[in-house]
Amino acid sequence: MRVFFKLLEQGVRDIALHPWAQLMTLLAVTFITFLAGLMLIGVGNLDNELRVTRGEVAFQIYWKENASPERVKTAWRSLRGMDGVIEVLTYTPQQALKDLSSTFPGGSRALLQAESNPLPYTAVIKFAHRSGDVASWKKATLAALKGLPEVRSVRSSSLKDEVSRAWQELSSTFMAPVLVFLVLILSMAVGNTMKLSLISRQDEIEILKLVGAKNWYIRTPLLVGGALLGSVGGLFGVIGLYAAWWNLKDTFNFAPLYWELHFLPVDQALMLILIPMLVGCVSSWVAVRN
Amino acid sequence: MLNVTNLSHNFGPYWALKNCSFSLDKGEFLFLTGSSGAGKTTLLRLLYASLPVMRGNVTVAGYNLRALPARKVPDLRRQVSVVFQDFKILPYRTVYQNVAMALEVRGLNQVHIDRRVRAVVRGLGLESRINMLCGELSGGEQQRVAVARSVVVNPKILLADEPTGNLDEELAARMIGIFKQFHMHGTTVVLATHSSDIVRMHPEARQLRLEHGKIVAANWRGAEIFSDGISEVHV
Repeated sequence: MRVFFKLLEQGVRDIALHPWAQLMTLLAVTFITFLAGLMLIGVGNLDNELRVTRGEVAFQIYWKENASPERVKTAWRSLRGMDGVIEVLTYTPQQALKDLSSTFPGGSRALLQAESNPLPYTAVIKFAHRSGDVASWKKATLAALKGLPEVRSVRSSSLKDEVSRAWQELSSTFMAPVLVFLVLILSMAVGNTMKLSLISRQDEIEILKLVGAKNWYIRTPLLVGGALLGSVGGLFGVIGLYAAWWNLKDTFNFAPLYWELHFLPVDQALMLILIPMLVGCVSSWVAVRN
Repeated sequence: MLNVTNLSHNFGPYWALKNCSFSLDKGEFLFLTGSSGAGKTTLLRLLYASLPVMRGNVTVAGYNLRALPARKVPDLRRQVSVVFQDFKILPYRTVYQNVAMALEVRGLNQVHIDRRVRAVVRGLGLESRINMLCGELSGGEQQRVAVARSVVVNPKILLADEPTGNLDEELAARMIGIFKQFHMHGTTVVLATHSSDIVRMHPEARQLRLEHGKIVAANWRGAEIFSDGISEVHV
């Protein structure tokens, strides 16, 4: 154990052998971590926003103009009992007209004083985002809503639904390759620096081998150096990311968007430190294995 | 302790060793002689597994080098120490650190390391230099540091490749005296040199002469002399 700690200490001390190369690698790891974190923040927030507020499926139901108010209100009650419903907004013709008139500041009074109201009873029903065979579910729900008494037509929010699904596909498709690419760059940067350390210690390693040092004895300080570069670089990257987020978190927080950017979840922030540490260790091992 | 049978080694088309056979018992002292390019260094490198044994068989301190896996090489080298003409010491480390290195890789405790290093350094007359950087020492002192590192582990076999090549006559004689001292304590020593003067000063030692990779002369029964492609026992 004493030997192990001595080798750990040597791994830390060896960082001073090539301060510039180590500093450059540290910066590379920091920037890559920062970049990966920035991407995760962007994707995470956008994904979250789409899932929470725009990923739901909404249907707008229009009743016939001469529909019986009692039968419509009974239908509204049945809508609230449907599976997966998160919100039901209902409008009588008068409420709908009032809402509509508020969008015409100049002509609102005239619109409200009109003798006949052309607007029908309407309802907007929102279902929570769901996975699986969404298309079949939508088709069945649409048929059920159209079958309600005195319903004239039903429209679904197909565009929003498609946007949500397309975004999910896109994020799951390009996120993994980009992250793998960043990890590759990270491993090349750290591996190259460790190779440099190895070359500079070649005389010492040759002597260590001559006096019977085992491979782990020779490799441990280099693996420690790689892990240290990775973890410290990752930590700096996360600190930089936090500073950037702190300054930008309210960029989209204005009416009517009210979109406040969230920082990474703790597990993802930890991964941004642990993955570079692991990559540093593995790439060092690859660099010194021969 | 050391058994070499029909050992040959080539570097591409060039045969550095041809059909060499000899054996040494524990505690023997062998001078390996021959001009530059005779195959002395190749033979030593084969003995400490710096080169793979491709043809013939070599057994060193109980290890069959023909069948020695790479992971076992460190175990062999804990039994066999090597001293080089160019010392192979770290100039940016102190005498103490250079010598202690050989014990540290074995995971020995610090008290034991300290005691062993100081004893060997004292024995080689380097006590006053123990905390000096090796780069600040003279050639002779550096060579003694290299010897100290080799003997501090009490090796079964000590190989030395032209250890006096960079030293003047007086220092060379003193260096051979140091090797003889360790030999007296039971270490088997194989010392490669092209200096016939050194060999003449120690007629009691085993002698093996190499020329163009072949053993052409030996002064004991344990070696076979190469003659026209046929190995013969020389008496």
